Amino acid sequence: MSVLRIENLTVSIESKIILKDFNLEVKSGEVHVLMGHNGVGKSTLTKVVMGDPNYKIESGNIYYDNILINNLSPDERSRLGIFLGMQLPLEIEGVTNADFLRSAISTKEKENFKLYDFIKELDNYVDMLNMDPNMIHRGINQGFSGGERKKNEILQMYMLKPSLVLLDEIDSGLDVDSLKIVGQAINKYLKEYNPGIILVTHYLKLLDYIKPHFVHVVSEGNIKKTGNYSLAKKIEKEGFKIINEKNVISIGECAIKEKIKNE
Amino acid sequence: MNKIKVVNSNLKIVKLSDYFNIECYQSKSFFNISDIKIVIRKSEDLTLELELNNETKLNISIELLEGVNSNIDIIAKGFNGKIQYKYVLNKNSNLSVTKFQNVKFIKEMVIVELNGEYSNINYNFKTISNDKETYDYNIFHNAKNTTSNIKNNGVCVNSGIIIYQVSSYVPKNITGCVVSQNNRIINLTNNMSKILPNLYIDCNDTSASHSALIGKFREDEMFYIQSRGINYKDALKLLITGFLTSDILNKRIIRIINKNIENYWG
Repeated sequence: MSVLRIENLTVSIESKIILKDFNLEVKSGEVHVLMGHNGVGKSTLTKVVMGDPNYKIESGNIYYDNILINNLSPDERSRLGIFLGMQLPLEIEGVTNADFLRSAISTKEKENFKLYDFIKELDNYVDMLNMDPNMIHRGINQGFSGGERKKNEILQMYMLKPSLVLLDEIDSGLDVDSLKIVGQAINKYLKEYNPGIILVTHYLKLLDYIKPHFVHVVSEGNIKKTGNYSLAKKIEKEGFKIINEKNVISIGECAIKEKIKNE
Repeated sequence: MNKIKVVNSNLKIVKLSDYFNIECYQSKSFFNISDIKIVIRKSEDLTLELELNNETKLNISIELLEGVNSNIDIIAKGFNGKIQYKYVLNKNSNLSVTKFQNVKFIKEMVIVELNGEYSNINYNFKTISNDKETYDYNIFHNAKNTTSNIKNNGVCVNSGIIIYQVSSYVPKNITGCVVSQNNRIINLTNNMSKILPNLYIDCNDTSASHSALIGKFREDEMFYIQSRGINYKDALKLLITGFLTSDILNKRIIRIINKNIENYWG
């Protein structure tokens, strides 16, 4: 079982504190949803776990499978099994999706890499995600719509087979049909590969396809409330003012209850 | 495929059809320059390979007669050369130049004379600079409705410095011209490279644009690629490959560029 453990994490960008004493534990097979206003640190968390050099860890630690990853480069983290599906996947001119993925997979599989198997698998997932096969030969996300970019992120997830999946607003920019395809694809991946998942989202529609085990409300750089799917429904109905209510257990209580249960 | 090789100022015709007129002579002047004059009479393509040694001085003139369409691929290697290319395009002629060079210390002048109406040049140049490289372009739109697309991509490594000075001229009353310059340098050194784009447009009825960029690859591009498990060195190689090969159709030139990239970043 893989475990992501974030302990008392404080993170800044350009001297501004974004995350403050943030704590979270994500185990294989668990789906954690992060909700909250814009700018409270949800996306920052996913980027920091992936190792974005723009963010500075002021204090605290991130462990993955008991390995301290604070100082690992993004590629080293990826090779440990961490994957970030980005909110705004970049367009990179000149580097084709096929070359990009081939480099990524051959780096991962080393001498076990087989081009024929790679192409076959890629075709299979392109078909599953209802993507245009020609996109594979275009520059990374070049000329892709918002929805196509998100599908491309899911395609990369399937090809890389991570054990920890961070999805930052993967549902934004998707039309109804694409949302269904992406939602079902994530759910299928969860069932087949049992990864830990952190989903950042503003909407419940995606959660029709992926049932979360935990819903966390983030505010002012840390988790203020934790609950289950019903908390997400409540947020949708009443907004984030519920942060101040006391009828939802905090992450600390949640962890203690789990500990007692395990004992 | 028509092919000409120039090795140390000496011309060698590998294969050339009857549609090309070619003259070569050694200047008797003090400067000891070799002149090569090529006239393309019918639409055919040409590959020009240059191997430069110390103090190579060349004047290469290529003229396309009326209605001729031609693709010219130029591949240069070696060190220390001074070259002047002159392209003369007559009415309704279209020239596409794709050029790659990995040359140490070079000074180059490129003159384009769009002399015939509806003549058109697409110039696509790629270089990996190890030492000082200076390129001075002068594009003259001498006839109406002429088009020039000049695209220069260069990567500086080690002691590499690139200077692109690109000047496009459209005189008064030469209407309907399209002028485009796109110059980009990825500077992987601490040396100072320069782009000097000049648009001398004296005619209102002209569509003119230019872009100039000197810098490194963006951090977020590196992060995106690295986040898929590709290490920094391979991510850089991938970006450089894209930068230098993305818009080239000639597979042989792509192979040569890839081989050079492999030598530097393999």
